[in-house]
Amino acid sequence: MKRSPNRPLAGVKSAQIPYREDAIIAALQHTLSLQRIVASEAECANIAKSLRRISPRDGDVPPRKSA
Amino acid sequence: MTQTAFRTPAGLPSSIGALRALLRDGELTVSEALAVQQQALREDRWHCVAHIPDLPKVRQDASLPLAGVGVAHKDIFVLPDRLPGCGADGPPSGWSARRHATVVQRLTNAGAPPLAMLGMAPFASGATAENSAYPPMRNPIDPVAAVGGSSSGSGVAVAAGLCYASLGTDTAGSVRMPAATCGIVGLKTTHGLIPTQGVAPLASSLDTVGLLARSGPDLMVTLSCALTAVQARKLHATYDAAQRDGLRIAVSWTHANPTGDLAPGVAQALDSLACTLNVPAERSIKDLRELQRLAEISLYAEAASVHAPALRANTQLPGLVRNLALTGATIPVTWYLNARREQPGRCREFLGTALADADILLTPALPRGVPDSGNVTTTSAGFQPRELLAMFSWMSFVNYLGLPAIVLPIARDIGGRPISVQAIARPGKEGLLIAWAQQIEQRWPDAFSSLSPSNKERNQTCLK
Repeated sequence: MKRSPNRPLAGVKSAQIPYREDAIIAALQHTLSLQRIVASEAECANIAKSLRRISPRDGDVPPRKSA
Repeated sequence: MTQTAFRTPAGLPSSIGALRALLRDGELTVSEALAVQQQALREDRWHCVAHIPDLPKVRQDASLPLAGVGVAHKDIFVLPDRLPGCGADGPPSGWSARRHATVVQRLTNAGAPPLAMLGMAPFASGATAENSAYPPMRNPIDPVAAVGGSSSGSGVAVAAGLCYASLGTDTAGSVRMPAATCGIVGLKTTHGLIPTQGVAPLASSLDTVGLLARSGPDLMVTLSCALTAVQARKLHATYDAAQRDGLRIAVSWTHANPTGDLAPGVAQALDSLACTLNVPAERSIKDLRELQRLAEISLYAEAASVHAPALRANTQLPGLVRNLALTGATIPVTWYLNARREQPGRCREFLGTALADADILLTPALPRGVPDSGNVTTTSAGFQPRELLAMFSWMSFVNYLGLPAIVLPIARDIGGRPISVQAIARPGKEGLLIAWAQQIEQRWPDAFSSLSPSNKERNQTCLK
């Protein structure tokens, strides 16, 4: 997968498909910034790890609709 | 009872019953008893005391059920003239206490004002006593051993004999883990049984006030005073029924997650217990891993809500607390809503399967036993994350289900550290758990003797 700075979530199809760590970190920073919270990249990497651990198991995540 | 033969650091008998007898006989007045106990807390060598309040003027009526009984509590309860320190500089930013803690007031009314407020993990977030703001807390049983958190000061103060009982809070095992590491009894009550008014929050759907004591009888009398009169009557009725009719016991030793696997010594002690009690075949807890996940989601999301003002203001938060709150702030709301929506059904299912035809379910408490402090302290060179995760593995799902649970020692490992078991019951059945704890205590008194000569000698040797 090629990097696309303008499309940080490119390549993220669903929780089951390998994703790009930098895109996830960017998405998490964006989510937090909407709540006026600033977090470092290292902190967001930790968050991603925790979220992966507690994410719903198979069948709980609805498949992403294709465009 | 073996314990009554030994003395606390204040020179008093080690059980509430024996102390009360002394007061009844007029050998000591209530105010003298409280004064010597508070002095012992001032001289704390285990670094468990966070604050010593002025000794309030209490009724000198020696007939009150807890008159003269020294209690000290986790520094998370609001006192009439003091906000809690919460293991930090004060309660969570933006949280305002409308009133002081109801449960502390109930114990004070029963004759036991708080003699000290005790150290804890910052904002009740942590499975150990780790708190960079304070000197390292020491386990009275073994100074190298970890002290469980987050009600770590409560565990240490009770085990060291500095107080007879202590109130703590349990959101994911925070009463049971300190009890298990310090070889005492820790009770997590049914969610909502004891009001959390005047208690700084961590995660409201999981937060539960609990108690720590050295024995079942001490726990029983203290809990009775922490409840309303109606609740106390029910507690005694349940307790009496268990003593009279016996208990149906089930066991579950196997965890779906490898972090819950048992160390050989722990497995041996638990199997021996099951064998002695003649318990039928082990049963598994359905969807245990999923229950743990739902508990974690609730914890993260609600902790984020509590600490959101501090996150937004970029206020300094201890590392573990900040990680917890940041993660919670990114959890999809659907995960959290699902976790809450599923809770009643999950609880019904647990009661209908794991507790089917049984009054209590026994599980491990700390599956690897009591770890070295260095192995579970995040800033230590020897830190092992899996050891820390193991401490939680049999705890948090109980909070999600809102059930009462008790942790008590059943044996000692070769190093003299306690091996504990957890017993879980139906909502409102704390009396069964305490009755069972008392039966075990009578059968294996050595496991309970945190003030036994051998431990005292070990403490004195290690703390020199």
